[in-house]
Amino acid sequence: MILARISMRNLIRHPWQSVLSIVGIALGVAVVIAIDLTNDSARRAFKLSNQMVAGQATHHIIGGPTGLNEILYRDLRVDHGIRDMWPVVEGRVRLPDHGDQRFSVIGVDPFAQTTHSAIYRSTRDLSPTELLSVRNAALLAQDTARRLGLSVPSELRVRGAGGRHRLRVTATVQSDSALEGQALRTVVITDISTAQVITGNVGRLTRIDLELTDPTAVARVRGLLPPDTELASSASRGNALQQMTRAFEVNLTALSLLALVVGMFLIYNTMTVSVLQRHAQIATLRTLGVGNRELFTSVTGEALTLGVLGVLAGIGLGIALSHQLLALVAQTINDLYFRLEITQVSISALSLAKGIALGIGATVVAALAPALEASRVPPQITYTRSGQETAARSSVGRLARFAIVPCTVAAALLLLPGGSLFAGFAGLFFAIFGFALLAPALLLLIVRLTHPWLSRALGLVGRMAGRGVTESLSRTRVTVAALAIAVSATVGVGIMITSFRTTVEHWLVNYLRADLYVSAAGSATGVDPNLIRRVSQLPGVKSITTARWTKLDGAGGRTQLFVLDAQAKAFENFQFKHGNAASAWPRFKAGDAVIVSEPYAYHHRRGVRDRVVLRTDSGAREFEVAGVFYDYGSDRGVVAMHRDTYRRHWADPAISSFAVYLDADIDVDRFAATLQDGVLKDSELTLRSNRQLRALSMEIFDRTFAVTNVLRVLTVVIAVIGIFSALMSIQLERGREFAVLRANGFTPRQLWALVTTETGLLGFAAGVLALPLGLFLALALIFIINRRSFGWTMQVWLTPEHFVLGVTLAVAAGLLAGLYPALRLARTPPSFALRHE
Amino acid sequence: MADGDPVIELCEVHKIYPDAQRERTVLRGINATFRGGEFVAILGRSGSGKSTLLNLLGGIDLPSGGDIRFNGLSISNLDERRRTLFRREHVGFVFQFFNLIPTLTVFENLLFTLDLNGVDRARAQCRVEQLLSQLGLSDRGDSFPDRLSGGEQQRIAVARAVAHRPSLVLADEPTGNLDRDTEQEVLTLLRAMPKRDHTTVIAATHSPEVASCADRIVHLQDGTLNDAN
Repeated sequence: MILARISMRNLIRHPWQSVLSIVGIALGVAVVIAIDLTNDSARRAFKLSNQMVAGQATHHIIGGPTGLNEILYRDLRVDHGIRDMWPVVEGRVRLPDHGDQRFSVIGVDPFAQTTHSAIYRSTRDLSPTELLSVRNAALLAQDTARRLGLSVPSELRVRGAGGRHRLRVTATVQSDSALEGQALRTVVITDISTAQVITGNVGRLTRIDLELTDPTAVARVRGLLPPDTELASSASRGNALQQMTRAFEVNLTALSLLALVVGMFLIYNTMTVSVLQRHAQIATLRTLGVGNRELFTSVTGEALTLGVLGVLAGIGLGIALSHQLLALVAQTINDLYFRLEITQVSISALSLAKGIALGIGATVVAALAPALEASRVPPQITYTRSGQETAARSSVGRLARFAIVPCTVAAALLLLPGGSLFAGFAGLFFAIFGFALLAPALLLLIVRLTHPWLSRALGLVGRMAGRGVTESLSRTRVTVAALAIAVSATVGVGIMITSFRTTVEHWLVNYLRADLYVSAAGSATGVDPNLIRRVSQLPGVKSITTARWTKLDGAGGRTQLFVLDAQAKAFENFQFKHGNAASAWPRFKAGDAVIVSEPYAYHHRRGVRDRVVLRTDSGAREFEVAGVFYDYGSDRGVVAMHRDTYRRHWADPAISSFAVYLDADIDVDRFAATLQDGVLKDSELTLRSNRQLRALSMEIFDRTFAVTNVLRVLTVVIAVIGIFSALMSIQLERGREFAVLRANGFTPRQLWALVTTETGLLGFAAGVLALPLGLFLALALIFIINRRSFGWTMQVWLTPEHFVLGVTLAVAAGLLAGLYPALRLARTPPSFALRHE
Repeated sequence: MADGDPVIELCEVHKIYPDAQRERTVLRGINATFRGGEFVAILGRSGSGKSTLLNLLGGIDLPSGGDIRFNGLSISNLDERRRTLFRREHVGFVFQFFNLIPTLTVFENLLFTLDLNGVDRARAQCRVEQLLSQLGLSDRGDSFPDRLSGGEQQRIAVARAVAHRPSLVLADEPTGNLDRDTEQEVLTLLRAMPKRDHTTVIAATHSPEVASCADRIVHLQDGTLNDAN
């Protein structure tokens, strides 16, 4: 159809506008695809690493903090004849001869004969004696051995919670697929007993995996288990573990969608400006008999062409970007949640399809308003631009009044108690929409306020620049709203990160009061109590507090347990949100009460005097909550209990770390050096000063927000591209008007000043508008999104730099966008411009 | 439709525009008949309502009162979509500023109304080639409008208006933007081309030259239409 030809030629005739729109939508789609691929790769890696040992296991037998007694496996297998099960010992080691790389050690039973687990399957071609005939025999994946430069046989030194050990690589195994290869990349396979020794868990198993298809068999096994163990289904355990990273994933997805929303504004902006510029042509088409439906389809088709091209480019960009983001996301998951080897992006068709659908969908939605605008252009024999601007100005009040609707919906979604995270994000997007409707009225207000100042400063040019903005309101209002939204996103996220960072910094200062912290690399056997005794006897040591970090896995998920052997004074380091140290301490010390962190209380809906159920050595038991404390170390939450309480319920003497309080007159650095060279010499323990530990914590914090910052920058890039394109086309459209000015004596310099002042003013207006919206976004992220995601309380820290940066960014984008049209128009002879209109 | 038969009839047509202060009556009960094949010039001062009358005749706008009938069909009662289809099929337009589609070549501009009316491709191309040949612009078919002079553009616009053989051509100041020599060329075309298909031409103009070419001249004054004779 000839209308399609008109549309396509229009896109080709404005190559910069079209290309920049394609780049904008491509970047938006790329960010969405990259985040989805990254999240999906992490999920797949998690599933695979889970399945690597568990395979098709339907259930797991899990124990307490020290795992299971291996006798249980023997009893079940030999005495009760349960065959479809296999024991698992898992732990972490480092390879001192290979850059201290972190590896997992997995102990397998060569006689278990299951083929459902990748680890077991990988060893199927080996005879059982391959692992058993040589002492400390170990298997590596073929690629891993090649990467480490190890041949068969060779020696591999490892360092784990059980100390340093020399393993003998007796064979290599091959994985069935690339994904399995990734899962085996940092794995050392040994027999059960070797793994137990390396991980310091002699006589213990991490868990027993079972394949139980018959409900009666499930009931039978459950009936055979001692009280300190639990039979959990694989699905519930896997889900519970994966739930840990859900909020993190949702937040990343929401940020990526924000980039797409900015991309949508870009398409909206391009199409609106394009339709407005062609009003006269559209009116002619209507007069000649083109129907409004045909025009609607034609404009949507134009947008779709840009969208499809953008999406196609976005797929490639997204895949490339996902490779860059993967390392950042993997780091965060390893820092905050669990150890996971993710080195490879899994290109999932579903992720790509989601990106394509969102990209195309966003384009269509963004094009709806301009397409409707085009279809409503009345047929006219004579056309005037002023009518368009009159309509734009008269709609300002109506739009501002209509803004009440999305703002009310936003308020309801954000403020109603018990709202979900999804409702929170939906509320944010409604608020942004409401703001976009208010933007034209606010733009007029800003121009009115700056007009006298501009007139005084720049004379005629200043007066004309101000008027130029309001006289082109039909175009400028959309552009300013889009730029303001993009800048507000960066201001809001910036304030949120600064607030969070400062809150954590302050919390660490109060929480880490000891002078030195010593921790064990693994958590099984941990720190030798004799060593602690020796340290406590050193001159200058005022007191020592020990801690045990452990986790209790169960069908309901994982509970992080923090066991503290502290005196009342050290207990005061906890900052309580509910309850207080004085009232909680007696019950905490002697009364089987626990204190829980704020995220734990939020996720489990627990408060002071409520009870939490934990699986002890003697079965499930209730513990009273004596207080809720602020903690930013874990977003899933922590249950803290006194060591005396812990000892009463769990036979686990291990200590993970200890804190050393020194006398006031002791030089901490010198004492640390003496300690490192003395008592701690040859130990596997890590010594850190209070300052170092705080610095490390902040480093992890900054790493966690690295992805957020990348997305934030990309969002701004998308916005700047959009603004650049829109402002440029607005100015270029006015070629005739500027030619008339030149013909009447305006110098090229004056013209240059006029165009850049106008685009700079638009940038400034957008920057100023972005500030309240940015602040609102920050408050919503801090008090609503963060609360619903993680349950943390954050203090708001407002620093001027975010606001200054926001306005500077917007003004810079405006000035930059004005440069090219200003130069081009100033250089064009007026006669040429007049002739070609 | 034969020459002389009524094509369009206006019966007590009023047009009132609501204004901020008061209503502004532009047309006051116009009664008129335009016949097949005639060339009518509507003369009147700026703001007298000439363009408004053309808008009503072309179904672009609706009268505030009265009725407009096209070959017996009341176009005042048609909805927006039907009026669009009516324009597409039965009306051709010539604008003061040519209003060719800048992103289409001359050939495609002429093809446009034929394409809209679903004329098959081969016949449409044949018709366009014929029109270009009549205009003496066969070698400009691949040019875009901005490469043509004002006179050439308006000649193409006239050809576009008659390409699909409408019953009615409405021209709003068709020579308002042209010099005297070019005006004559365009007027010759505007008179000759519709005649072949018995098309009625109604031109709103200030120009005495346009008026002198017309079969009939009517004056629009104070909202009423009066025959010059």
